[in-house]
Amino acid sequence: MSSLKDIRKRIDSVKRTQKTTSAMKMVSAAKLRRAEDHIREATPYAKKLKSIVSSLSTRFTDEEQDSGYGLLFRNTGGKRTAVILVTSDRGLCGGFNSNLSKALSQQLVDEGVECAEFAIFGRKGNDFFKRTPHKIVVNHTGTPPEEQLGLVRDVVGEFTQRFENDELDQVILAYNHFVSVISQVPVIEQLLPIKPIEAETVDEREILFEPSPQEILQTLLEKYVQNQVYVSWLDTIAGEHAARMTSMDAATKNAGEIIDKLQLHYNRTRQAAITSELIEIISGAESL
Amino acid sequence: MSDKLSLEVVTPFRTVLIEDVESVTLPGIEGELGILPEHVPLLTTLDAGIISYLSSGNTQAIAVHWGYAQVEGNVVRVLAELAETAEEIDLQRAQEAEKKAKEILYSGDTSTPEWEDEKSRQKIYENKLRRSVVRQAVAKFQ
Repeated sequence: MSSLKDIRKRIDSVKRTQKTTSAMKMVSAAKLRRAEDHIREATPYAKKLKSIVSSLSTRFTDEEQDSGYGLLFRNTGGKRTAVILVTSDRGLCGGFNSNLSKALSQQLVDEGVECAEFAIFGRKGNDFFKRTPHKIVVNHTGTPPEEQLGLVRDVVGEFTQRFENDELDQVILAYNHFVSVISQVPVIEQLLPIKPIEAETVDEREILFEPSPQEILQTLLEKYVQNQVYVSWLDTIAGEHAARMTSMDAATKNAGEIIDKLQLHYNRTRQAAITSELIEIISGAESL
Repeated sequence: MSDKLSLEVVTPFRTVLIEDVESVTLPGIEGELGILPEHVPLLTTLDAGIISYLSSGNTQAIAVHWGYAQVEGNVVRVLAELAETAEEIDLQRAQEAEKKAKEILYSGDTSTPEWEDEKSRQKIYENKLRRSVVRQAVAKFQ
């Protein structure tokens, strides 16, 4: 039976934990709002880039795509894989990172990839995959928002270069898609070879190109891939805060329940002590 | 027939401008392009330069640093890596950047022995110089 002082101590400790979790929840809520703003601001660019790429890629026949600038579409079906994994830096956000990492390593097993090359944004993905036979090429942690695009450019540039040189057969992008505050879905998609994009309408009109369409497409496609990775990073950041918000909310509630239980236990123990003291006094008085 | 163009300038970080304008001048990679309403569809790569546009009689300017422009119907879409309006530009900072870039380019300082490094370093500062010059030009429109 724990003493009154022990229970008191436990209540205090749980209360302190509760304070921390509820503060973390509030911080995440504020950060989530900012992350959502970032996504909103990045969306028009991403959409327009996609529409330009799709309207361009319908202009070329398959034959043309196979030559030269169609390199990024080439499908070799080989197993040399590179992965760009986007996770968060910090934990305490439920199964956010581990769900994604597990789904990703399962997919790699399914595809028969034994040793993929990893470029990882965020500490948590690194923690998971450093214990696996996969090779981690780079790991960026604690990246401030203004440096994100530059890092994405470096990593994507490196991988597309190697893809074009036929050193890689596919590049996979894995991240958490932010659906809503209560739902984040792990997404694993193929980045390279680029999947042909369904054009909304086939545009048959003459278009002036400056310089040639080939040259534009070459740089445009790389921009497109970069942008996909960048947007997925923003998505992950928003998802991280949302996941932390929900899990910290649950933690705060659980702490509240524990406090209630302990308080009840404390009161009972206190009452029991008083009663036994009274009995002692009364029986002492009687014996006189 | 419409006599207005809709100009949209977006970057990966934000939407810089959406406005109905009378005409637009784009800094195409192969030279300046003047766009008026009913222009033929066009897709071009943009150099670092100034987008100037005529909006209700006033000429205004935006600095862009590499990107793409698409003209389709009466919509001009500019996808830039970086775009700034005249109000956003810190003139003093741009001037300082120009001075610094020039100093480094003229000094011929070969602190990096590798020729490759030297070449890429030179390129970086040439780009910096161009950006600062463009910024200063745009800032004058304010």
